[in-house]
Amino acid sequence: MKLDTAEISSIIKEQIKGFEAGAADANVGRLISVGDGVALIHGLSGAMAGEMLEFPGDTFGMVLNLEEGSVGAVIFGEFTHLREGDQVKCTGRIFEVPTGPGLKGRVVNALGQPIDGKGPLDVAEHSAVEKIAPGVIERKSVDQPLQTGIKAIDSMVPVGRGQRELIIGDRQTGKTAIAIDTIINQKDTGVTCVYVAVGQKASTVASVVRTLREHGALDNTIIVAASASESAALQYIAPYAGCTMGEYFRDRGEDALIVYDDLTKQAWAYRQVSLILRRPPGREAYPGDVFYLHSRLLERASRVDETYVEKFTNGKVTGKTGSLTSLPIIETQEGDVSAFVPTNVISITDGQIFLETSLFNSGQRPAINAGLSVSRVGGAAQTKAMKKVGGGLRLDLAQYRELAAFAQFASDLDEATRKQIERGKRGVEILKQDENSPQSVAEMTTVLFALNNGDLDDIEVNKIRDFEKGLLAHLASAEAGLMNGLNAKPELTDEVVAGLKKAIADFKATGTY
Amino acid sequence: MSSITVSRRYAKALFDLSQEGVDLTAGLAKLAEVAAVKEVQEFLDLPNFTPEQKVAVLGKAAGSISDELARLVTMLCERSKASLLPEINEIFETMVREAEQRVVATVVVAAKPDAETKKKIEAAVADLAGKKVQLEIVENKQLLGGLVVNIGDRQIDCSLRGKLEGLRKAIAA
Repeated sequence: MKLDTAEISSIIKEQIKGFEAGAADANVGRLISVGDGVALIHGLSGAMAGEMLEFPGDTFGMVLNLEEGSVGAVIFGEFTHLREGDQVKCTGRIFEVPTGPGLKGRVVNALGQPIDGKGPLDVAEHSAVEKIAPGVIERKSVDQPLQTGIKAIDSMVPVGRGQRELIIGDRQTGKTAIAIDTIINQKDTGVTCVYVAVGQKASTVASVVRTLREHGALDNTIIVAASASESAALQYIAPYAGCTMGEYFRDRGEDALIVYDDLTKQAWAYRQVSLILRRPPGREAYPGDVFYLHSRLLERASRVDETYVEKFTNGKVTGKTGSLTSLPIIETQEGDVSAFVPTNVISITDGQIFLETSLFNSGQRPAINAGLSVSRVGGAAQTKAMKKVGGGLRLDLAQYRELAAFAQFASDLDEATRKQIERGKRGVEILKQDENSPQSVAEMTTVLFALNNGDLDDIEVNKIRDFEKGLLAHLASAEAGLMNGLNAKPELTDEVVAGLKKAIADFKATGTY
Repeated sequence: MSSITVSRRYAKALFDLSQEGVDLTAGLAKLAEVAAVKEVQEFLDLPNFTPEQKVAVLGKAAGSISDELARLVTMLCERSKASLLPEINEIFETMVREAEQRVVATVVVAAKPDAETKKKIEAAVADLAGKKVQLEIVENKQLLGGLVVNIGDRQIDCSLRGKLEGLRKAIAA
């Protein structure tokens, strides 16, 4: 980088010129104790809840407890240089992070400082981390789909823009994989993604960054990382910081997606902070406000109407709605969804994608349990084509499971039952999908259409996935017009149906699978 | 319950007594000073002495103490709270100052001011606080110039060091 000394001097000159050196009137206190990132401060009689505090050595913290005679605060970042008796100042501000398009493609920590070695951020705005979610009047119903590119999700548990869909499951069941696939699928859709990693290994975060870069999805993604080695305070605040970065796009009439990976670890971090602050422990030693911790965060995911966007941008953006879709992740222990935090988050969100270890181990990947996974609002946002081909899928799969269990005891089955079992087997097979390979609406529609139409009935179960690959390759080369048309207008008109039938028949005739 | 809550109750009771005309200020300050000594504190916590013996020792160490204060110490010893005496005194003094519209201001300066400057500072601080001011001047060469006024939790920084620090932050931001 070439340094222009004249330019640097002029910048410094402007800063000195603009600097007002008046008397600084501040409310101060003295540090009584610091432990595990939590400080107890004497004085600070004017401190407000949630206010940012300034510690020596450019360290900042946030007021959490206001008590008689003392103030409890969390320290963001390094705290080993702090000593008993150090002076702490009120700043009169709420904790803020940088926001804006300059964050896209960057990896930042919970304070919004870059940690990817690509130099300073190119952002002009800062925004408060804790904000109140948009009210009832400012919201709009969820009616636009957010395509995850995963057949099992888009057909059975569709996600709409502005929705909160929980991804829940034990460790190693592919929770993060679903979130990453969804982010990859947004690369040309104009949806900005925020991936918040809480309490994860730094190497895991690095591999997520690499995957996104390899698939060309990093340029429209912001990664907020509070890894396991960082303080509990940073892990607690990271989801809020990420949410503020996502809200920037929502408020300006754009669409954004945020993934919280995962909120269980955030709840652990908050429990740690609360216990050190001597807040009374409740169930599973969590503090009393752990529900509010997640509800106020997830309430900020919303779809806002045109008036809100217009008002927010002072009329610069008109006639556009904004949305922030959130995909919180919760890790369960031994499939126990009735633990405290999982039940809380299930009740807050608009549905859940439930992943099971047994399905994962039996080769069903993504390991989505079709019976327990639901989307409470996504149906209104599903494309017409997907609604048509995926409508009966959940019921068919449920019936298949019941019949398959029953069929284990019976040797002779009637024709109708046998057919249903065979169709079910193919349905289960077709919902399998490789990692990092999300499909377009047209691809998913075609494959499910082939299943419904009975085109897969005469193909052996172990050949289904080869057939799918071959069919999609054939369509991409021979029927590009049909596929593009279906992607642009996802509706199964008579014309499209005829086209699909013909294309599938043509491919089957080649026998190349 | 935190100790400050307990101390505040005793201090309030003593303050009410003093408002009724019982003079406690000097005696209590002496008692607190004695009770703050580590050895005395250890002695006050010993269970093998009766409260009366402890009062006698404290009274002797602090000179003579009034009946009210002797009763206070007995009460505190009976409840194992004698170690709160310094804190009680601090809160009591703050209450008295507040009642008298008086405030203690600590002024940190780079170099000791002359009498005239001191008077000026006192007038300015009194104006700022809106109360009578009891000025305490502390010297700290690291300030380079100017002064820092501390009134309770409020700090007004007009020092050269503070301005330089502000400039550093403005440039670093």
